[in-house]
Amino acid sequence: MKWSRWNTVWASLAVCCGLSLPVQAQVDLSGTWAPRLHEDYEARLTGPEFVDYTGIPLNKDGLASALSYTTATFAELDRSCAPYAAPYLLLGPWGVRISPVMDEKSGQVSAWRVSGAMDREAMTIWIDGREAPGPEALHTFAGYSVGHWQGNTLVVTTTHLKDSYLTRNGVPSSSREKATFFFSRHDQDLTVTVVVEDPTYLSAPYVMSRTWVIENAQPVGAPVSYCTPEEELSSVSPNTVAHFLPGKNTSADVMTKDYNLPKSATYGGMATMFPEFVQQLKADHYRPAGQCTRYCCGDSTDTEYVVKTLMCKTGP
Amino acid sequence: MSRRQIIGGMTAVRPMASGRCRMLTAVCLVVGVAFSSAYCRGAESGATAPETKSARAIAPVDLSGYWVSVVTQDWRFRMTVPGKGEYAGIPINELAKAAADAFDGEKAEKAGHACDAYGAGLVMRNPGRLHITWEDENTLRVEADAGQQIRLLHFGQSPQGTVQPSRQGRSTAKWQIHQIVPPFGPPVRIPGAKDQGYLQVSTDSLLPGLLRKNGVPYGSRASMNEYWEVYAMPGGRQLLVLSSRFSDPEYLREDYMFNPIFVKEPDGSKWSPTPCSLRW
Repeated sequence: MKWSRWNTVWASLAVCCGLSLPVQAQVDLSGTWAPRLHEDYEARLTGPEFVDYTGIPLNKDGLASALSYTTATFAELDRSCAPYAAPYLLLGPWGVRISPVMDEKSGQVSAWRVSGAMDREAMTIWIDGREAPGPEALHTFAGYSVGHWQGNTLVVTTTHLKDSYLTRNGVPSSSREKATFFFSRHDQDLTVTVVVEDPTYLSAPYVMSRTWVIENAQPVGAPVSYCTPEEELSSVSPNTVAHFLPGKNTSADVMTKDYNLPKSATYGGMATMFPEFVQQLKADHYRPAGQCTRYCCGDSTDTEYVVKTLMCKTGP
Repeated sequence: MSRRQIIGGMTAVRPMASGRCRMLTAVCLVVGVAFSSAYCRGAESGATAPETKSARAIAPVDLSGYWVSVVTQDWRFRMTVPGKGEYAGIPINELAKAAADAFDGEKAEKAGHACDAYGAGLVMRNPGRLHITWEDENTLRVEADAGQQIRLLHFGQSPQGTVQPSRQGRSTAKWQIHQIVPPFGPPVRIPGAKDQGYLQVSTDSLLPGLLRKNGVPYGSRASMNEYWEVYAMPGGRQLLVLSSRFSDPEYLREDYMFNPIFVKEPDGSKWSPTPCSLRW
């Protein structure tokens, strides 16, 4: 058979097609993802105890700031509508909707949009190769997120975050905070892991991981409300900055009273994250608390059961 | 026709190719593409080509070494023995609640049941360290110093027939190798890519055990599915996250989901085997 010019054309096309394989994997993250509150149930649903910083690598400044926090802080007019910073995605109770942002010219995904909730701003994760802006650029509660695919995992770096709170009991997060997210989809499950670094308030990276489950029936669990600042507490006047002075936090020993935990545990710090801390507890003569008094019925995503759980105050 | 052609961005002078030479070149290109395509397809995990290499040889990530648990989640339930009735977070049914309410840790420990809290349902959440090694070419050995437990993760086909239930059960493992979806044809592994995959582990044949040290039980029909992912933290340290889904038709209303986290350590200098205990 004689080799024709057309054969050369087809061969060239084949080579071009082979070389044009995408160099990065992409997984479809889009959908409505329902939460499972099986870990940190109380902290995520009803909110953590006032002074429970166990497992959080707070440094000295972080602890001082956390202990100055009072729940009246969010009654201040200028803070009453302030959302939490981006890592709160893993600390709140909400579901999440994820959708692609398409580049109409190339047909490629240029970003992923992660829905917000009533206390968390929506995130846009740019994966089109752009870099984060300079350090003086606008800081927001959602921050600026750029991502890339590492295999089938979307690795996201979020910077440009505003001063805010990491948790609902006043653990602070600063504008120097950097969060690295890993989004990994396993069939019907979406696991998101975050590594939070904050040289202002943390002495080590703070790591968390949660899994959401795809919800095919209906969009769920990510309500967004548009907040209007208004006076909530008559005790907090427009000129008041709600706070506890050093050593005056009235809830400082709530975990000791309720759970026999020493302050070396409840005040957090890097040491509380690792197994060796059990020895510290033994040295502090820790004894387990007696009867459970709250949230004693387990957990479910079933709303009716959640209500029952909140009201369940008795053990056996 | 000019003899000058651009090769790799440099100008070179070559003799004009004859028609036969051009044909050979084109044939080589086509064969090359076909071979490349076949190579990629053969590299799929559990795909069309029969797997001849061992699990160790094709591992997309290196799990071996020492890992320490990072206890940032459910701290009070893991670092301490929670009080009676503290079942928050676990989707237990009434049967489980009744069993847990009746549980007496001291009695259970005296009766030799301390290691019930170190079965597959809880062992990875207990604060401690893992030492992961290859038992053989197709078996990963995961040793936990807390409670001195050993999980064996078997790659390949599961043993046929009835398996004797055990505390760590029977675990079947397979590598899930990250793939790309080209414009044509089936998904293919990324050629030459490293750290591009994860481990999926399915566990069954479990002895009854505890999901929490204060007596929340699981039964003999329980099973677990885990995804073991390794991520690179900023600064280079490796993070191991086990996305776990625990099922038990006897004591749970829905799957119980938890994600134990570990950080890799440079050596085993902090390895500290401790016996099972229901008091710590």
